[in-house]
Amino acid sequence: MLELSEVQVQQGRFNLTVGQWQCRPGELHVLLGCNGAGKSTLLRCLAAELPHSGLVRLHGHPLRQWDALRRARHLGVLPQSSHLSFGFSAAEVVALGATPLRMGRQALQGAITAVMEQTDCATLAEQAYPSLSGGERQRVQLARVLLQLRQAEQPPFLLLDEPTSAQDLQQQHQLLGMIRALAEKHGYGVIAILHDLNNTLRYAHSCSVLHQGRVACHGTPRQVLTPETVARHWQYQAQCLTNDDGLRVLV
Amino acid sequence: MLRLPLTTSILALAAMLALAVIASVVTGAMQLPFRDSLLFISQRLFGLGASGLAPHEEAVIWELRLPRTLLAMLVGAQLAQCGAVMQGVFRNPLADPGIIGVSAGAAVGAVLAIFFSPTEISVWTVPLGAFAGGLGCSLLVYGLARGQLGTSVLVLLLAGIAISALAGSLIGLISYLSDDARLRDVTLWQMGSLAAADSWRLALLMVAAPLLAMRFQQRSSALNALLLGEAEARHLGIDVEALKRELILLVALGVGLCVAAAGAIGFIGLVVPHLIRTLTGPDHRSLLPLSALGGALLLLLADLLSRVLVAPAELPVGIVTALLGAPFFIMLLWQFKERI
Repeated sequence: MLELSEVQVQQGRFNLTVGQWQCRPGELHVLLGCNGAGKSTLLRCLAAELPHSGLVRLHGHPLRQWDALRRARHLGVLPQSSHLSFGFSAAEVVALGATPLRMGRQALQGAITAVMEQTDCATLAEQAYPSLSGGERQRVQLARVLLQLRQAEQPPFLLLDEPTSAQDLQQQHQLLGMIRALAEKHGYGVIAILHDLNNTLRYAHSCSVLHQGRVACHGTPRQVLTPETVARHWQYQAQCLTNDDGLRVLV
Repeated sequence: MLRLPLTTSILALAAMLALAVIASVVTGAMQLPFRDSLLFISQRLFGLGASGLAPHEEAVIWELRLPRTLLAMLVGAQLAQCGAVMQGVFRNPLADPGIIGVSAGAAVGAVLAIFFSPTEISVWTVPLGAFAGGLGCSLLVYGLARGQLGTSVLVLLLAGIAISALAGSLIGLISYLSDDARLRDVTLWQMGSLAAADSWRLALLMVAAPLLAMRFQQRSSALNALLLGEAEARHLGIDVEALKRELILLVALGVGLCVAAAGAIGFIGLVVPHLIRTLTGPDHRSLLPLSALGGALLLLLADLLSRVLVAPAELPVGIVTALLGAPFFIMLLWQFKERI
């Protein structure tokens, strides 16, 4: 369980206040909201990147009390974009995810191939990372973070800052499907910032809508994403349809 | 990507280094027979063979050329490693130890020592002054750049520039106030030289260089992770602040010792890691040892050139490295200008 209680973050004039909030293992939780609502701040708070008051707890223990390497094996963070001025190959970037792990050389090679296949970038292994496109880099970085979590003793948590922002339609669905499977089959807890409401309706188990630094609503996507909420938080009059699979679609 | 295997690279560099050592020992103002010179060294080191050299010729090899060769290798290796580490800490392949003000600070310390201390004890005071100046400056720059959220690379670089400017003006002031003899000392020292390879400086470097190299090697994996970004390295379980603090101090120490021993020798720390990266990739676990070999080789070759070009006189080696390194730096800037 990854949970926040009575957390406050002050960044200049922006203030994020969250009373109680949590994400369970096996759950894909999506953070929604317009720009400046506090999604990234909340995510960075969960990643222990920001000074804050209140408590962030992972499996019951305050995040700051975790041993750094052990925490790294249980909490992976995918940044929105990642700049690298040195000419690592894609596989070498993925291998950096093994920094907190204890793994023999051969096991590491196998694990690198496995995570790169999971994120559909195994064919890029030998290419220079700086020469890759934005979407390819995102998938390589995601593979790195997945490698980092491979030796977790308790269910690991994955924080993703717009993991599909640079992906084409097919890749978006492939990645989100893979992430949902991580949660359902391997018990990962996943917290992702997404902008696409229909992807949220389709893949998320739960979601939160943030508005002006507060969690405005919280629940399953079907409960939360109604035309009324969309109108209130995005100032957009959405029409609600149901597709052949019984899934709700907002247009 | 095309990359040279690690073993091949080590063997190739080591072989070239061995050749350069031989060339360095048999080359100089005094012509000595090639075969006898090598025989003499093998006789001294392994007790094998007998050379036909006269005692004064043996002294030239044993007391002048060998210590000089050793000093060149140690200084070159340490400068190149410090450069590679600094580039990792700054996550910028163009960073050089000179950039955070270590070299400038060390130069001021050394020049102050030349100016204020009597010539008889300058053997001691100049290295001490250089080391103290280098360490003081890097602590000051680091203190300036440290903020709530860590060390700002931008402030670090700007502080380095400001301190270099201050150092330049101080050196200018001292040069202006110096009498002719001291002015010559100051100027020559600034150009860098490996000729003054006395046993004290050599011993210090022989102890320090392997220790620093070992510590850098232990931190090489953490340095790799740091290249991803400071937040990313923290998420990988690395204490980024402690890592940066330690590495900046060690680089200050390493560069200070080199400046103290051989004066201001620039560009080794920039050129060597860059070449090694293009050959075997940016992984610090292989980059650091290969940079040590490459740095030793490059400075030895530069020293050889400095002795051959205007023989029987010799050029300050700092001029040779700058003549080779500065155009290389400009070329790199040209390549990188799109990305800066």
